[in-house]
Amino acid sequence: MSKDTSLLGLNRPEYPPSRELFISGLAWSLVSRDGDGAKKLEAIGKDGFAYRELASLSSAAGAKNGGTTTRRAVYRTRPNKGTPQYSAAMKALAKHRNFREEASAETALNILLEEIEAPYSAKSKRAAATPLTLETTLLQDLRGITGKDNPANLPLILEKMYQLGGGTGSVAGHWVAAVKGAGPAGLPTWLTEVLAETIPAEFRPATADLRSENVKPAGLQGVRRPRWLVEAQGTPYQWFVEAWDNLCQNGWIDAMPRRRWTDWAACVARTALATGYMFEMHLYRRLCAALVSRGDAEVVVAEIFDDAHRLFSWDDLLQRSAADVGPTMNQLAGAGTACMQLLADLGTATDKDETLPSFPLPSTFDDRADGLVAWLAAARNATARNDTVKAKVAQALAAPRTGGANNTWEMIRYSLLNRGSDGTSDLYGLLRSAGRYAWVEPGQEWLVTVSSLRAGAPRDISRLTDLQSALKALGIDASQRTLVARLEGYGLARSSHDADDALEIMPGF
Amino acid sequence: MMMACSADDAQGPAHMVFLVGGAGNGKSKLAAEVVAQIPGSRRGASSNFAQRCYEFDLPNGGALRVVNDATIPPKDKHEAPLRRDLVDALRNGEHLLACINRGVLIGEVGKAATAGDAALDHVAESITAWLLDGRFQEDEADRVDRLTVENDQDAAHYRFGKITLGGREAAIIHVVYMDRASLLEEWEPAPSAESTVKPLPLGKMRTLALLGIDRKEHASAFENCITELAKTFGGGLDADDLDPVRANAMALSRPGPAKGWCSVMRGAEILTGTHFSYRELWALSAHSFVGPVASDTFAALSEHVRAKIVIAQQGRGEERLSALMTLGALRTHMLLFDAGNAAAAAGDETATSVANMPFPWPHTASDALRAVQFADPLRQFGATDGKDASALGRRLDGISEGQLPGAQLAREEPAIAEYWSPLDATIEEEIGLAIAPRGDSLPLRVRSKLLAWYGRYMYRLVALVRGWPAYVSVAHEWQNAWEDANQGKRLSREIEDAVLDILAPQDDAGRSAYFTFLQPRVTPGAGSAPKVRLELPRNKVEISARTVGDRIDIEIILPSANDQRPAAEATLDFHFLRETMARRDGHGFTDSLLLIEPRIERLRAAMVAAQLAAEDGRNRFYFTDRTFAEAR
Repeated sequence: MSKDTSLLGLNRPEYPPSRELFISGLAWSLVSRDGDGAKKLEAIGKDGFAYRELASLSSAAGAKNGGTTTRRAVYRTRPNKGTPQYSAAMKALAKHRNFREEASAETALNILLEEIEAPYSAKSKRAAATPLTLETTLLQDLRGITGKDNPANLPLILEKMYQLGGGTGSVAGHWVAAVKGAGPAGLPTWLTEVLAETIPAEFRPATADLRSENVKPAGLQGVRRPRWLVEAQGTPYQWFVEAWDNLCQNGWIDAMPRRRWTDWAACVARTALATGYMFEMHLYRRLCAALVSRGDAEVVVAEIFDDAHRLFSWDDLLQRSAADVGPTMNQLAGAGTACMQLLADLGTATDKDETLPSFPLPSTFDDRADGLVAWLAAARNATARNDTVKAKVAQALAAPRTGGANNTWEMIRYSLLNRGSDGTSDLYGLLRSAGRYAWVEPGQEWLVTVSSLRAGAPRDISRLTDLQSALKALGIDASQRTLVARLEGYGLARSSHDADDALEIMPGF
Repeated sequence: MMMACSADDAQGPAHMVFLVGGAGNGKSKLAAEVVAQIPGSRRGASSNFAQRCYEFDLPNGGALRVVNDATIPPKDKHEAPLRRDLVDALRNGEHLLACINRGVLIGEVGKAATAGDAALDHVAESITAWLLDGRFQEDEADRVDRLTVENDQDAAHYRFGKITLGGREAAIIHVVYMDRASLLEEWEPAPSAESTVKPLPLGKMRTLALLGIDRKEHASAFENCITELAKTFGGGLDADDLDPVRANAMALSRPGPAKGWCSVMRGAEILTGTHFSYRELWALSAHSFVGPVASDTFAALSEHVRAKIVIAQQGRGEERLSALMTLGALRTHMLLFDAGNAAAAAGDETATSVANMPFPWPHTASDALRAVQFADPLRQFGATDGKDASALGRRLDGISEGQLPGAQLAREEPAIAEYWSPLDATIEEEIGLAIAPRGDSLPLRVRSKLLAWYGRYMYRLVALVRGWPAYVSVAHEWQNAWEDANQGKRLSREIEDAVLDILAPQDDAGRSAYFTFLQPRVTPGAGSAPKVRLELPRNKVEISARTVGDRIDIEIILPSANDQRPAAEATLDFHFLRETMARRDGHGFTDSLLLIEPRIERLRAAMVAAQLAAEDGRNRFYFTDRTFAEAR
């Protein structure tokens, strides 16, 4: 097993083509990979699951490229007429909604199946279902939608980020617990029961896994929780823990339609992933630079954490060219990835030369509150006599965005970008782009979600200072006048008599 | 506090009075007046600089600690100095009078405990958290040292509580939120307090509708302030009939224009959902006299006025007219909405074509000024039905026929007469002459611009004196709604119906309201799209309203809901009410719809969630497709 030379132990990301995959991936992470049930699933969905094949689009794309499309064994989970699950769902619908004619029940079921299909982009090959219930969450998985044999393990990345923020339990476990404990306010009981019938019989063991007590995701053994990070204030990981726990545990699921709650969950997940990688890249860049600087290690580390609150600036009054965050994303991904590689290389090289002090592994400092400071001091010591380090650091800091950096860049950019298609707006994006510029301009529901989850529970108020601290944790330096104007525009601000940080913010629900 | 400090002995519980609110709301002034009445001697040496805290020894052996300005950091840079002040006062049994803004409270809540006295610090932290939110959770009944709060008064601006230490009643707390009501409304005075250890009797908040009869008969809280200021300021100016600054001071020293000014300011508050602090009202008063000049530009303004007066007195023709118009631009009704407003100045083509360049105001912006500029009566003059605007327009047309409409109005309306100055009369006469048909008539374009300027001048003048901000009907209706809600009454039937029309519009057949719930947005949806929608039983939805300070909150109640709380809550502000009134009066929709749409959608989503929960098995759903429509 290779040594963990990373700072935080995060896997390398890949942006998924569908936002529904965040939640579906988490649900699948709770499903057992052993036993007969797993074998049956593997048998029907060798290459994964997708709600619907967008055949015309994929074949058109293949023809355009002049190539051939490899037919993968992706199981399409949208029930078709004639299948047992279609009949079962139709019967359940007829019973619950009192449809007396089969034709009517069939049409009504088709309407429902159409409605739960999630929006997809023009380049998508397969569509996903909106993960409203435990069952519908399983109607797709990462392999099925991405068409890749080994897509990046997004649920594990989310779980790791959750641990980096000091989370208790698991991301997937909290989501499932929330859905299991939800009342009918978000989704009527009859619809939950109809949707439960839409899955094929082979999925039953998987849903049983989700419904079992004390369900835990796979792969969490040995996940790192560096004390110096867990105890730090205002990191995106800490924001993720607070937002996710709040969303799943404090009654939000019964305060709004389930679709909205599911969208909020996806919003939190995609924001956490993007800002989590921004923070990681920022750490790599700045620590790499600090290797060859002479500043006091403690001061340097404090500055790195402080500067992480200002990776993006947000001021609606700025010109687009001045507000452009594209170069920041390029630099974070390009230089950050190169610096990450450099640190890994340094660790490997010094191990082989016994005349030099061993380059320290960050993971060996995980149990110290001052772990990062101590690691930096040790790393400086290990490289003090290495004449080539300075040049290598300079090269890494100036590295363009290539190779693996592109995946990180895509994860950051596309997780945050407004990705509306076909004239629809992505309500949960943070960035907008036009031409060569990308700037912070949150979709309405992004701000509603982030500000609402600063309140303790539905109908509790929060204050501007709470929102500002959340934005800082996410690396966004927001102008106060912009924030206030946006909150007022969305009808969330209340009582500004005392102005400043005391402005009260109403939650969305 | 004065009663407590003047007591015969210091045996009873200590008293703590907290004045909470933003800057400029009069906390320090009130505290200073209280201190001036207290027979105590100050500890320590006095200083020329304002200090955070002052301590006084009282004749009865007690002590008073005054936190004059909690934003001033203590010398030792303590992280939670207010909590330390509270701990010290509690430990020593001192009375405490503290002026605090919420920024200080936010900074103190959640900070690490003060070393040394954890139990008292816990009480102090409870107090700061309570002061910040005005909400208190009784969850520590078993604690010996604790805060208890009595909520027997339903007032947004006052709270009462007690501190128990070691089982003994150690302190009485009175909290006054200084910014929860408008200074431009008159309250019914509070009865005198008979005991300081019980909640104080409160004055009754009320609002006098801008178009109501009562407003004409009652002076608002600030009216006397501005008339006194105007008298003092105007008394020091040289008498000159054409001096606009003097005309402003003279006008606002009289009751009619002062009342109109206060009404327009009150309207600006309602339209923008804010309150002006004393500091802002003083600033707006000064702005109404001299515009946004600072002390360094005052001399330049004075020179500018003097030079224009000379031209107006000695010049002729276009030169004289332009000097008069430049002076007219310095009248209160023009200053309030234009001066310092770069956008308004940029749009004033008259400035370059007819009149000389006006005074180069510095670009000035503040929340208060923006609010007043939003209330510019040119946006909408008089009642929503447009009759007032038409009536005045017809009268002003008279200037083309040789009449003097302004002077005529001044003869008919006493308040306008109080405002109407020789400068206004001269401007009107000169414009009348300029546009009169004669051999060397003005070019049509110049004549039109001149008339447009005169129209702006007169509409604003009349609106200011009558106390009509923009959308005065909406502001008036909002005040009526506030009064109804404050008295526990329902909103008017028309308003309730219109609110319901916005929240839950009926379907095409006019039978019921249906909403999507599986889409990213909760909308009525199109009937031909493949959707399932939930029926919301409109006829069962109830709307109630309550006031929280100067705010109207409406509650949407679904009688079938199994939750004790309303299904949804929203603030009925100007934009919401304006849209509601447009629906009520059959005017379609207004541009306020854009502003309220996000919250309307969230209200609908909350209503849908409540309805789904309330009647899980008995709800009706509407399945539609292009060729299919069945309700089940």
